[in-house]
Amino acid sequence: MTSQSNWIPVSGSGDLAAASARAVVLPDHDVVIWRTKTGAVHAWENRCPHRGMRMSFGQVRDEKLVCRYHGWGFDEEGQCQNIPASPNAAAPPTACIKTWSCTEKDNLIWVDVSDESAGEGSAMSGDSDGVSSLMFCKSVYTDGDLDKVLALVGSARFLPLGYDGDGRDLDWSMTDLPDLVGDAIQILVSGAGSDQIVITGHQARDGRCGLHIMTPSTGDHDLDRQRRLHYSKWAKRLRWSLSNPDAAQDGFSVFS
Amino acid sequence: MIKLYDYILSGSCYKVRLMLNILNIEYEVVPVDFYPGLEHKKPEMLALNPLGQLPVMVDGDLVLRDAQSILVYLASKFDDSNSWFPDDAAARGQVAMWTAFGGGEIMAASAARLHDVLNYPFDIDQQRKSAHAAFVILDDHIAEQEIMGLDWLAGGAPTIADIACFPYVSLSEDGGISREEYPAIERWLRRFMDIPGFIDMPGVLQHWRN
Amino acid sequence: MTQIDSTTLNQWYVIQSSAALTPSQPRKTRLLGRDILAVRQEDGQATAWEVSTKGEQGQALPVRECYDYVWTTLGEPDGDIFSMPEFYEDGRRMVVCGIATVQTSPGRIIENFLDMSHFPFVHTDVLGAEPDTEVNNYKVNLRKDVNELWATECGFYQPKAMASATEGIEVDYQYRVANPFAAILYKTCPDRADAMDLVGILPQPLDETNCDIHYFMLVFDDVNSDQELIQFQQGILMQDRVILENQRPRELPLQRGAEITIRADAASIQYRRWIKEMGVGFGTL
Repeated sequence: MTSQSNWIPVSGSGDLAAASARAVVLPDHDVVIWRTKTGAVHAWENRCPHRGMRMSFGQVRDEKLVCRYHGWGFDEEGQCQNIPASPNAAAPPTACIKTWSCTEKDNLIWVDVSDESAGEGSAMSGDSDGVSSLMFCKSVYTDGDLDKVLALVGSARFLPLGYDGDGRDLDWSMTDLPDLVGDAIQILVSGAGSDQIVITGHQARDGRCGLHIMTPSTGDHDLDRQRRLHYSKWAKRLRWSLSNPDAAQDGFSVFS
Repeated sequence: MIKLYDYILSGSCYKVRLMLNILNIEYEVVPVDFYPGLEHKKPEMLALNPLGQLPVMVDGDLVLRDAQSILVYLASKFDDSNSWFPDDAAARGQVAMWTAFGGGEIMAASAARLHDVLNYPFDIDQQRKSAHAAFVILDDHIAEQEIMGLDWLAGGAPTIADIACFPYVSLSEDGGISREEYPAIERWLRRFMDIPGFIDMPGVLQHWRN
Repeated sequence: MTQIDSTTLNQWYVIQSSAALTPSQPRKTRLLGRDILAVRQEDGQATAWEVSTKGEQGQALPVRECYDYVWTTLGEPDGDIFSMPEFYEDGRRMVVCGIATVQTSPGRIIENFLDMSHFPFVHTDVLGAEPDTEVNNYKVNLRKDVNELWATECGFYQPKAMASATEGIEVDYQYRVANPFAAILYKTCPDRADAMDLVGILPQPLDETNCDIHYFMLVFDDVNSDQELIQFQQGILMQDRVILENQRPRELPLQRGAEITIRADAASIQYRRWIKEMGVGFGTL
């Protein structure tokens, strides 16, 4: 299940709005992810080189990420382009922020904070054939080690409800999803509510991990909306079960 | 004129200032020495509010305490659009439910802030844990509302419920409560700051309009 | 905790305001990583002592009362508490604004206090506003006779410079760093053309990255109540606090090149150089 790739899925694409920034704190890296007004995503060290302010408190303005403390504006390459305290002088070339590779795939935002991270352009290997047009539903956070949490989810302990909502007697199976980059598991729900759920995640700070729950898009807007709502609610039950591993609940129970 | 007994760093007073500003109501501020003077615990203020809390609003002969109650009053009296505290029974029930959440569960974030900034003797771990539990519920709710095309806590338009919840959620970093895990809350905070008549308070990081 | 450098150890630090230390309200706090207890005795004398890890009363500490504050030290200061003659001027009001606890180093706090270029972004529409963001050249001097750092001829356009201001003014500032962890701002007094108002900031370092900030105003002001002045200044401090708690590292980096600086940072550059020369290791990197 473990992939050789350094790519880490840190957020659903829809959870990073246009012209906004968010902090993603990985075990060894404080990262700011931000999106330009026109939609490009970037992942940088979450620190302004001037006075150390976390850039995730900043704002996106004119396609630059602007530091909250002194208004220094950094372009999409991480290079400072304007310093309001000194508006007529060019920003020093050393005023730049460390950038990491960042891309979007399967409606997730992926970052590579490894030493090999090229800053941009390092292509993501692998295609996610068979799970094309995945739709992001929700991220849930829980205590624990990502590998163990994914293994727990993947060890068939949690029975997913199919999309039909009433389905309590569904057949289901789980498979690894080797084609999807990163650690991921896939849950196939068959029977009346035949469906597919893909779960991947990232290790966050303080022993927390985030799980990103996705399902294929049908292409039908209204149907997709209902399905997103359904799996958002399902994700909450998954979170509950992970937090209460010894408790049993009808239709969503410990399965052993 | 309406009188507001106010403390600039109180998120609860800020709820009332927000409503007054959004509804464009003239009012007079009476600054109360909440800290370091603890004036809200002294006889003059206890006569207005025996609970010893801010805010207190005085309108003519009417004296009201509790930010949520004041929001109900102001919206009922001054909101001609009938949208901030709507008449419809089901809508009003939902608004009351999330308004109570703002004055209830969310206040754990206020306690954490009082601990971290002013050294109030609270169990900080417990307060932060309770605040996170409330934030999870709020984030889940907002995300599901959004999927249904609704931008606000109690429907498609902002209500006093949004005002009751906004201050201590947006000030949570003051109490060491990070919002990294709550992207839907972040979007809602941003939408809130675009409401006409929005004002900030110290510690609320307003987003700069492009 | 590592050995505390002698410069840091041999300073006087505020541990409470005189008014807040009453016989019924002792203050249990920390200073430079050590637990201390300040108590006002029934005869009115302020006292303080170290508290052992077992909670037992330890060594008695020297205590002074000065400028409406209670001061102590864990070391052996060379001199007295810095002079502030304005405190004794007729007509000035000393307004003690209380304590704000901030998770950062004292150096970051002083440096933020000396910085004008954040005004339009952190104190928006109060101490600054875009597009008036430029910081004009100002002078920074180390006054060797008193070992104080001064920044003078600082000018900045402010929409609401003080609680009483109703319109924007071009303010004149002077900053005085009286010791590594005490700073005073002298700024244009709206009520008196010939006088400056003072704002002081006295961080009590609890440990290397946690401080209780004691702060005050010493002003001529016939318009505002103490309450209005306090709330104005508390509001400013809470705008800074969210910045201060989110700087990384929390310690003040003193190595050359650790952080990018520009000309507007002259006061910060000189401050770092000055405390480095004095061997301040506490709360720095």
